[in-house]
Amino acid sequence: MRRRKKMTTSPAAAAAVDLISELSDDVLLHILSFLPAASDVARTTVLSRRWRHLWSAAPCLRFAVEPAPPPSTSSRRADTGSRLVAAVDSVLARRAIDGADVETLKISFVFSSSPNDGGGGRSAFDGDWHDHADDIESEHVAAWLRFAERHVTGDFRLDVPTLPRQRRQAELPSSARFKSMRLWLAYAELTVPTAAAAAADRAFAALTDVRLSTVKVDDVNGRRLCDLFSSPACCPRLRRLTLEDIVGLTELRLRLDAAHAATLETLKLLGLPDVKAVEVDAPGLRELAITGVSLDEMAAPPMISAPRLRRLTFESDETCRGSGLMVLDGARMEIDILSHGFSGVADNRDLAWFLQHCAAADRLDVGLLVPLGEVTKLKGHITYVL
Amino acid sequence: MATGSGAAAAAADAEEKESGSRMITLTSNEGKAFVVTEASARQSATIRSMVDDGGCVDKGFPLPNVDSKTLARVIQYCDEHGNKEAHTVDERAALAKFDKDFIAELDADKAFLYDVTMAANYLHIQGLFALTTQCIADTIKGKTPEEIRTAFGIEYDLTAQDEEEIKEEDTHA
Repeated sequence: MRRRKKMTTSPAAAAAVDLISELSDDVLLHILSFLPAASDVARTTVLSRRWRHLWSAAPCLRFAVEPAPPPSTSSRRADTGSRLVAAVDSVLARRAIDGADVETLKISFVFSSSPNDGGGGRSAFDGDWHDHADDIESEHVAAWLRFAERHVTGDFRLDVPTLPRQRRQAELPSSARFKSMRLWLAYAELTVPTAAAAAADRAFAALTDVRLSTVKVDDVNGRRLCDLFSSPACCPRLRRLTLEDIVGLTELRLRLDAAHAATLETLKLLGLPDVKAVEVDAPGLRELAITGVSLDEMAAPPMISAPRLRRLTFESDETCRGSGLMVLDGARMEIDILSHGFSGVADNRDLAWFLQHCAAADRLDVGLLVPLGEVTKLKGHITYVL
Repeated sequence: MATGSGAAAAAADAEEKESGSRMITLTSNEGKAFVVTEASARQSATIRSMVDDGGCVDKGFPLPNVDSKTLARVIQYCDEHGNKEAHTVDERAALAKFDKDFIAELDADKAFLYDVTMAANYLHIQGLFALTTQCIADTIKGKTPEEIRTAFGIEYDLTAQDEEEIKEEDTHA
């Protein structure tokens, strides 16, 4: 690696040699992609001529609130939030003029509790936690979604914890270039395109990962949402789908046509309080997680057909009655079931029913989580359990 | 290796290939040869694809863009990540500690840090590249432009016209 040694003129920095500027554009852009706030990225434009226009090609723009400051510093939190809103608006506006595409756009006003916050983080939603996001209006969200549709070529993520109570609305963004889309929209009423329109626009042609959280749908848009994810013409590459905390979704019907490439491998249904009917037909599904869906209140038993399923996670506060869970070829399947049975109050009949229907299973590992006080009660029965 | 029938030897060869216990020679731009395990060399996607494409493993791989000092340090990283297991919590913690010490040492010598970054980029060693670029990004994070210039010795060479543009952008922002 040969480099030009260049001394700065400032005597204070006499020992410092500008080596960073001699890294290639690719490397510098990669470094910029690590900066947590796009405002940090924007600041590099005034460093020197070498850096002047570098950022306009930065492939990743990430705007995120830093790890949560304590609630007691709420004025500082609010300040951080409004500055971030301004930074997002100004950077995106400039970027839109430059016309350079963005590979990854992440805008998150949700404090993440851990760096690898895959799904949880919901604990951060207790109490008065969103003073920092008070400045976000539906208009901001609409503008950010529009920018993403036009300029994002890969991963798009928008996490908005709160919106003003009136006019909480959003349109599901679509782009033939999105590879992943993760939206957390503060229970905004979501408008969804029809499957036919989406297919005609090739609206989700490259999409492989979707996580849709905290939205509200009416019957029409709920149905459209299911149609969209069911249709190989709309989402020909969809591999991982998570629907989380969706209000108003009453019927969950995902019928993936086996004749087409059944690409969906992972499906997570987390907290769908209004679902009254479940029908999933996913020939390629490998992993299924169901949490916070009241299966017992349904008019008809949920029907899930996933002949290639390998891993099932099921967690419910209620025992599930008479569900038509159909699992074939589960020889190497891992099942993770949390079943709340209290001695003398409820039994685990339904769980047993379920296990009995996993005909291909040849091994069963059981883990017991017993409250301390219950241990003595359990003692006499433990051999029976084993 | 124990001698045996041809088939047994072939099977042993296959097994050896499988476990990555072959040795591979990497040569720096100064002509110095470094012999590393295949598992270590495979940390580099560049070398990995050459090996998998049936490249001449026996002749070794010349690396005209990497000097000896940098290559030695890069190999130190690859050995740690390629030769050691990281299955248990303890093993992963040990590896994380190694990374932490490794990058702290590099951070103290910025010129060397850039050399290692460029080598990691050229050799496509994803983990190492992420480690070094993250370290550089951390230095930029939250600093004013003047602080960044001082930290990296960047010369201020913006023209009056650039400054005018910047002022313009700021009022729009």
